[in-house]
Amino acid sequence: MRAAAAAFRMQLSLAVRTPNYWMVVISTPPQVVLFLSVVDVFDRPDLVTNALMAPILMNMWSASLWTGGAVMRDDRWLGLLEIHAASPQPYGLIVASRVAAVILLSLLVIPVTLLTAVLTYGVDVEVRNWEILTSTLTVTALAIVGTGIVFSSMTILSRAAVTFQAAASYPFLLLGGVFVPLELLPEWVRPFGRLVFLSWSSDLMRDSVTELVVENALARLAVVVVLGLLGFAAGLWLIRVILDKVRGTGEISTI
Amino acid sequence: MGAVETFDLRREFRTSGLRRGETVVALQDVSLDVEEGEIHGLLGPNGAGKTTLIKILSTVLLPTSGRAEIFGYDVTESTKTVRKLFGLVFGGDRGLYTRLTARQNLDYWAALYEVPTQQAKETVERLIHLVGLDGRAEDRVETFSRGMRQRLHLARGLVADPPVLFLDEPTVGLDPVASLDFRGMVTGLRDEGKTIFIATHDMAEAEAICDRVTLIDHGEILATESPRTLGAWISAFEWVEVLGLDIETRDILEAVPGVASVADQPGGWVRFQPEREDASAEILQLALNHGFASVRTGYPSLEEVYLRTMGDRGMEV
Amino acid sequence: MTAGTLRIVQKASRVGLEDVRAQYTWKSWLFGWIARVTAQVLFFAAMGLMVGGPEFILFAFVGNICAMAALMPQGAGPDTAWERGLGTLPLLVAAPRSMLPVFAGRCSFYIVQGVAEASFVFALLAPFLGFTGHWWWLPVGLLALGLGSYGLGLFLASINIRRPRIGNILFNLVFYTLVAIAGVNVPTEVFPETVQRVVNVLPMHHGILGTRSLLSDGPSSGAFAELGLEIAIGLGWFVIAMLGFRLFSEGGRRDGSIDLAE
Repeated sequence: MRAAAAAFRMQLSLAVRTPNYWMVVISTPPQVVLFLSVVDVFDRPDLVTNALMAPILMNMWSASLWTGGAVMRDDRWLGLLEIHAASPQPYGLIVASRVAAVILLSLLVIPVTLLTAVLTYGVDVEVRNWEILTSTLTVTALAIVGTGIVFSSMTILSRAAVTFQAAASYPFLLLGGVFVPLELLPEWVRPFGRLVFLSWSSDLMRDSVTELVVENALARLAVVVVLGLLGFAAGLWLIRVILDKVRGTGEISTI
Repeated sequence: MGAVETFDLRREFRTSGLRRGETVVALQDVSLDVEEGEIHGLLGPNGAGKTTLIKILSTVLLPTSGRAEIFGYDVTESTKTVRKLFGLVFGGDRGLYTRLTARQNLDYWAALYEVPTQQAKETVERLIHLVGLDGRAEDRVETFSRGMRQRLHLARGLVADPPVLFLDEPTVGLDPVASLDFRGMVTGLRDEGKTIFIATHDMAEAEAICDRVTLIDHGEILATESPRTLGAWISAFEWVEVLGLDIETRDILEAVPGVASVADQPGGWVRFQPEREDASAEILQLALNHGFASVRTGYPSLEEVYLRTMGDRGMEV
Repeated sequence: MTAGTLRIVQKASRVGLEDVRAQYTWKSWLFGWIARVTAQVLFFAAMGLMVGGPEFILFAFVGNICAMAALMPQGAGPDTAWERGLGTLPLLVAAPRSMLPVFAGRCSFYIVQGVAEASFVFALLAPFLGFTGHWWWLPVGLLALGLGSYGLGLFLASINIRRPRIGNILFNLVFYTLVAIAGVNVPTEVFPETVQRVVNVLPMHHGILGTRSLLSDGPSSGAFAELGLEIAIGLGWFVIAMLGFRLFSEGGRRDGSIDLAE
């Protein structure tokens, strides 16, 4: 537990000093303007929620993909993969804590989004159901940590890591219905979208802003939890695979 | 029971790429033992299997067959226990979070090694002082020189105060002064009772700090020697080069007993390779007496020493 | 441009080509990069499912295709960071000629890549989205866009050399800002005067206008005027990039921020 906390704190220290980690926060305002300008041009105040949720989810997802993804890659580059393997702590726990730190930092996009919206379009959003909104955000953030571990592992296991990361951005955001809800996309796409927890999260988050009573809230939250846990499990399993390659075949090595 | 023992340790690798499926034997039935409280050197050229052995001992790599133990605990079966018994330090400037400060790096590892919180603070301070980084503890590692990083690396390996230290080529890339400093620290640790297993390809280093030296090549243990023997070899095989010799003098020098070979070098130099201690001194003296003042000497490489001592296995094990 | 400079540009563009070759196999290019770009264009075009209908879908479609062509040359920025990481930067600075031709050559390949990839994605999606129009004029518009963004990309590269840490961030910031205000998804007229004035001197805006015109109405003096303006803006930024590179060499030499490999 203490090791996990130490890893979390260490990653925060690291992130604060690494300009790339601030990328998601910095690219948020233009994105907010982009979505709000569309909503504004077509005079659709009912879509303001969509316009705000989109950059939030997009950037949290980006954070896990790029900077969460960098956690293990940086370790490998710095020759720290073996050193971690030789330590008494399970590396999976350490990686999970560090990705969590990255995601925590990415939550900054929420105030940045709101501030930008207020300053540019004078947006004033009233949230009808705070409980569901915060629960969804929390659960989504945790699920994103899980996928971050998967991304992190893939960058080590896959040679085409960069192109994999490229493919894992917009396709998932599209299927995740972060701006355009899944139900408006062509029918054949929807089953795939339902496998991406983002689609459940984005629907829930939008509903919690506009509706006081959110239909099937708990069941839908449960789906996000389950999908998120699957991501965690996959990520931790992949780390096991990596350590096996380090120790067993010696395929992955930095020393 | 020694501090570190290996029993017929074997490690094979399957090659990928062009020669797919071919097996490379990195370690062949390696059996050695390191006594508690000694600095034991593992000397060998690049590719000899030193790093592979260290990786197995530090639980980072699994052996194909055979066993290794640290204080009686099997490295593959009692991994968790074993991991608390050693510190791992390798050379070069990796192994540290360069964007963090020295102190932050040490704090992190102290936590990972479950050093009790209060003790951790004191330990980190003590280690920073031990490796001579007092003024720089709050500076980012990326501002450190190679030598400083190596010292911090050592501090990191000591954070859990392990009884055993594995050092893999720790002085590679360090300038002579930094190397000397580092060696001083290592012998200091031995004096405190730590057991140190150091892999190196530097004979002079092995001779300088080790209590015993195991020689390895192509994955096989060749011998375990005292540093004195090593020293004797070094001086026995110290070569002498003379510039602009005439044929007469060359013949005279060649006739010195103990000269194993004579070879022309670029630039008009002639190298005399002796195989007997004191032969090089004689050659030098003779050359100077005959008026040839352009001379130079050098230590043999590890490969040369190996060739001459192990070539025909003409020495005692 | 002297023969010597031309030679540098030529050699350097070969390096650029090899970089690209090294990064991608056709599989990783198709299923990775192209998949992402296609999904990105679709992501924004899909907004039309909620607002503006098919007309908006096509508007955003064309706009984002244009943005794709412009994206690549702007990527010159992070590229230089890579150069620095490789350790070849000090060698370049020490070389007798200015660094600009080198980077210009290396990144010239980006223009071609941008036009090719954007056209490819366009061809993939156009029938699916119901595009009818003078599609054969697309590469012309995209080329102008590529040239327009090229100078800006090199300017970002020169900053990046000076302050390598912010390279990636700067690139993202500039690109996303342009995508927001340069007429990609909404016309620039909807933004305040000041924003419009800024957009006028940045790449993408005129190139997009010219390309839209070409695609819907075919060749016209208006369309070519816009494309010409786009290229002129690109040239302007190219000049600024030249100054930037000169500034870097001097500045870097002065404060020792160029370090040799350890």
